[in-house]
Amino acid sequence: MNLSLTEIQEALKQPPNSKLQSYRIVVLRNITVESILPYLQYYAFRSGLEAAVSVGNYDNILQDCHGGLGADNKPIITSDTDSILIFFKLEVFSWPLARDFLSLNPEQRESEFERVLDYVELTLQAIRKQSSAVVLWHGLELPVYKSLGIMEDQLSDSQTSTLKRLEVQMKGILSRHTNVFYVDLSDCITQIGINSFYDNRFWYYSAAPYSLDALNVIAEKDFKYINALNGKNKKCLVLDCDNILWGGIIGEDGIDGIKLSKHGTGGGFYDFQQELVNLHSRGVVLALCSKNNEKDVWEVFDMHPEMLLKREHIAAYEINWEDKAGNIKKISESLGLGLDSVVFIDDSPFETDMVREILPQVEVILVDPKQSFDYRQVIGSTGYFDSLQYSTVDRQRTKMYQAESGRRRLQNNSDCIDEFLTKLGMEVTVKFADEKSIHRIAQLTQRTNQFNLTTKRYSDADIKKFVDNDTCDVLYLSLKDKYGDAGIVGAVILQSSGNTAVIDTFLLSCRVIGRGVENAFLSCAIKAARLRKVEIVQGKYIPTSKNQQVSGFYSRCGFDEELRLNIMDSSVDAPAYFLSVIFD
Amino acid sequence: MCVQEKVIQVLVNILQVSPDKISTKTTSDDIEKWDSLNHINMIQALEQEFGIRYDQEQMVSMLSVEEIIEATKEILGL
Repeated sequence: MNLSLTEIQEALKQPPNSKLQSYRIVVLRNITVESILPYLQYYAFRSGLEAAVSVGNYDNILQDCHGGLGADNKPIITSDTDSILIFFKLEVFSWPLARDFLSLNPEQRESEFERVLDYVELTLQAIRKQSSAVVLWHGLELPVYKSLGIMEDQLSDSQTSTLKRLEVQMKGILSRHTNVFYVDLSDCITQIGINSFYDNRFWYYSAAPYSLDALNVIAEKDFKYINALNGKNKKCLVLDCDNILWGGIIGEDGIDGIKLSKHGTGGGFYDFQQELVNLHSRGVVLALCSKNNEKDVWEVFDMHPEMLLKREHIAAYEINWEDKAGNIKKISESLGLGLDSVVFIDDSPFETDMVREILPQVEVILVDPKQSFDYRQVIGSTGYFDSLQYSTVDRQRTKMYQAESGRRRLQNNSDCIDEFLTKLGMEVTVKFADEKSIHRIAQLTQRTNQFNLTTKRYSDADIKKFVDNDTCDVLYLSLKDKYGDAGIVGAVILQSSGNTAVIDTFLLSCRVIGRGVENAFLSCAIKAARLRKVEIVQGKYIPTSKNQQVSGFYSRCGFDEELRLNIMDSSVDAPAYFLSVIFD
Repeated sequence: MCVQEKVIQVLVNILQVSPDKISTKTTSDDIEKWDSLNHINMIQALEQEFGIRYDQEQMVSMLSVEEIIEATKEILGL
């Protein structure tokens, strides 16, 4: 479904659903790539951003990183730059390595090889001197026509092998810098085919190697990175059942009549279920929303021999005859996930239209059961759930959300909130960050949107810097209750100087909001500040579209109008309904 | 929609000018935004619109609306 340039431009003329946030992109390049502009603007627009794109000078990547000036006579990279896209084409940088490989002797090959790596390193160092922006380095393209033909496949020192080795080393350099990511263009080439990707006419005419279709898929991929880093990736997939998980209607066709099998006409559904299980392993939360008799649906789950999806993969469900918009809302509330992190998939245009209409924040996918063989591709190609983190916590996420769903049910029946919270038997532990917790803390800063006072996104390396910094304290909070161990669900970063400790970051996973955990956490943060012998704790609140609920957090806790608390004469206490609050 | 109308529509979009600024007589010299970069975009947008591919000679000679229409009709066999 590749949109043409005309369609993209029409789409950009539509008024946005909500106010767009400005997002500054710098494109550095050694090729002509200006035509990517409308595509970047389009995908930004779809992510609620208004892209301001400035393109660096032709074949001036390194100079532009060293304060090079743009057409407006101002530096191309500034401290406001949000992301930097680098298009570094080997043909331009090293013609011998890219096109005249066979004439190089081994020494020459190595020296060209090193020259490329040095350039990458110098470029990144120069960027980091003036900006902490996200850097997306677009990957090396392997030769379309191999220099030795089929013989190339046999050799370990061929051009292809050499360039693959170069790619590995480049990735190594990129990974040693913070917030720098490798965008593998070979996916984009595979997606649309090599003949659609390159257009040699424009390569010879104006050093523009990529077709418009190519630039479209590249921009789309870039925004998968940008969305993941902005915490815009989706977290929950809500599934219809009939004609989505299996072919046919369970209430009519019965368990022996529905289509679901590894081979044959049920193959698309089987493969789709495998993809769902994979998504579950990646930490995506799965939920069911189906108009059915609940008993019939669970019968398929329990009894059908080819069901890959099991009850334990499902974090929440609404199986009834009520409207799906209302049901999806209930699901999102029961899981404590915002509607804008939900994707809904159904085969009925009625249902998808209704959900689009009533819940515009929800991303809706309509599929056609006659083309169930494409279901897997439909979900795989969206990138909705793409994230730049993958850890064991992801794999356990459903269990936590299942426990959460149970908790919420109890809460609705609980007359007295304190009594309910006491019954939970919550045990809070707050500790100083160590090597083992750094990754999870960074992940929390990237994912957490609602209970996040400053919404600063940090990488593992950033957190490590805070931990190693003598004037900073990084604290994390873990929570246990009668439903299970929620693991690390909160983080605080304190920066102390003179008589003041500034709370740079204060966040809690949305899974534990609404239980007074924040007060317990703040009480521990203040204890940590006391160890620093400071007198004042300075809070900070940076409003975003999602963190309104915490705008009054510090004042509720007794901080003054400037969000300061004098800890010499006041304090914050943990609520009494916690079984224990341990700080060590 | 005839070839001429479609061509003008694409040019209006790419070059961001009002339709009354473009006639068959218009050439690249008449429109500020018709530079070499937009020329590439324009050619590819036309190709997407008509489902065709211009050859190299056509590409460099399509510097007026008249020549664009002529080249397009030639490929379409009109």
